[in-house]
Amino acid sequence: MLKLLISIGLFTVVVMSLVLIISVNRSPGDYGAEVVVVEAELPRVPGEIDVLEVQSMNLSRDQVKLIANSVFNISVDPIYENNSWMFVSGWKELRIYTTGNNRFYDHEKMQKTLLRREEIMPIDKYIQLARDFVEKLKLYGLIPWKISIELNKSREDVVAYDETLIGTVNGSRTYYVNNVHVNFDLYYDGVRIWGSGGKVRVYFGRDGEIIGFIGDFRNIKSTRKVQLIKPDEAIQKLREVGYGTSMPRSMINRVAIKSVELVYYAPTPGAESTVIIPVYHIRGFLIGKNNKEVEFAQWVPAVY
Amino acid sequence: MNLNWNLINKVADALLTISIILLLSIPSYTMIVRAGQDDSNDKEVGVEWVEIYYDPELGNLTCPHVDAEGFYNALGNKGWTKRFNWGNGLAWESDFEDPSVGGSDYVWIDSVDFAWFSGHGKPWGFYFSIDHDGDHFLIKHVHYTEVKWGDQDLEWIVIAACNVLQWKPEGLPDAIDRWGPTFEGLHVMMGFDTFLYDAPPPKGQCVPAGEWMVKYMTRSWPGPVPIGYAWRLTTIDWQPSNVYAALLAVVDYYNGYFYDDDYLPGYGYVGPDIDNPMQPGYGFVYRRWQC
Repeated sequence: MLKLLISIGLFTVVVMSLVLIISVNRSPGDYGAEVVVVEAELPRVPGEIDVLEVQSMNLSRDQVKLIANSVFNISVDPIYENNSWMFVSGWKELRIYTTGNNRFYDHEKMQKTLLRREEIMPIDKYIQLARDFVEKLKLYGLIPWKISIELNKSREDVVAYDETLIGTVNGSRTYYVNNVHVNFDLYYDGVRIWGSGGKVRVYFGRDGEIIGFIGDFRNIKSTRKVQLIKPDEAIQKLREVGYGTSMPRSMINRVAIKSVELVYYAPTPGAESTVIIPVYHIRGFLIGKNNKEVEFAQWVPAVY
Repeated sequence: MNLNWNLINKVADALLTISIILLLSIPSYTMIVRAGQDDSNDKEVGVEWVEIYYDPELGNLTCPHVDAEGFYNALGNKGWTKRFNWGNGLAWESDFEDPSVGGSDYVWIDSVDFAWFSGHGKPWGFYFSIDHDGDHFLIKHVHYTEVKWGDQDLEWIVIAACNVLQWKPEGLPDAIDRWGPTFEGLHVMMGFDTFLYDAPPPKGQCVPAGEWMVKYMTRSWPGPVPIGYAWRLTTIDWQPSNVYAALLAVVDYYNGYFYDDDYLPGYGYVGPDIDNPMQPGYGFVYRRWQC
């Protein structure tokens, strides 16, 4: 009998402890009652849109060698590994992926370049150099004809800097520019391709030298048309998925939506998915009950 | 009373067995493992991550376990000692905090060489789902004033959370003045200047960013890259271009050495620990880049 009582006692203690541990990991499951104010013009969107799939780029060894030599000034033989042609020459590394993602870095210059403000050339000069470079890539067939590349001067980061600050705690700061880079936008059928795998960027070091390049030139094909969610439905969905910030949901008083854009989300080069789907990229500010503002940027699927 | 002793014995045995099994399973959630508390092993890794920020506070996340565990397992596959991998309610702020504020970083974060946290962040710190604060002050998050890293072991830390390395937040010191005093042997702190995206479309599949970083640091051809630069390349691959990542590293002015140029041990040069980088001759470098 004593053994039974001890067993029951022990069993009860253990089960109660586990319940306590599990309760710590419980999720709320509900979402807030914040006021959402749309302070942006909602985009006009078609009823249907293409779902895209990334096709393999069939570039021969000779083709990629020509591109490496003519555009990037690299004359070594490539190695084919992990779905990409890879060239390495000193600190320079060029990867041309069969998925259309291209990366070129002069690693030493990307890491070590420190430009003073006065060494930076006029912005238009960088834009022109970047344009010339992209035109050259088009000539060598690296850019599929179905996507268009545009330089949107109204975009705040059309020319951007990677920056370095050096200093001591409570001391002075010395500012350097690590590189100047020009960002292009990619479009398919008038819809911007956005995401970690949707970049076109030319990096410049000292005296306008190209020290890096990202070119996500996907060879894409429309697999089917699907019905598109309207922007106002997307805003409703946003309330369900949340805003992805650290402002407590219970603290959000108002949501000010500043932009709603229909885009194609291009997954990162290493991602398993080869499908590029339309999403609404929604940006704005959360205004807390304490009047503090937190910026948010979130995506919601644009298809059912 | 006619008792069936045989049945009672069987019930008691069954309950005992279940209790023992349950008891044995509890340590996997709560056990405090003694970690290597010195620098004799320079290849120890520990990760913590939070996805479920249950009511009433922060929104839930999807991908932190993929970032952090990818990093943990990838380093483990390279021969590193995997010390701890705490997630959700088992990731505690006290694991990162100094004993002077009731923390136990010497048992956890400061007992490994490379640490990774994924979860929510703000310019002043990063967030946890439960209150496990030693001094019950600044609860449920690690505040920059509660931290001294590297006085025991830690050399490199990634805080994969929004805004923790924001350069100059309103009403707060800049990143060097904020996080610099936390360096007591730490070489590099890596994170984000802006927000970052959690789960990418189309269906919220997470990408193994931590694993990618290890690949950059350890690749045999065309060769490994330094830790800080590996973080940069990883974040460019990982996040869209409206995200800016950042790092803060010690600078040794005497030798002209920037500590973000450290390689992973066994893959290149690693600078010596600087116990007090606020002394003359040392300083900090803050780098910020577009992803």
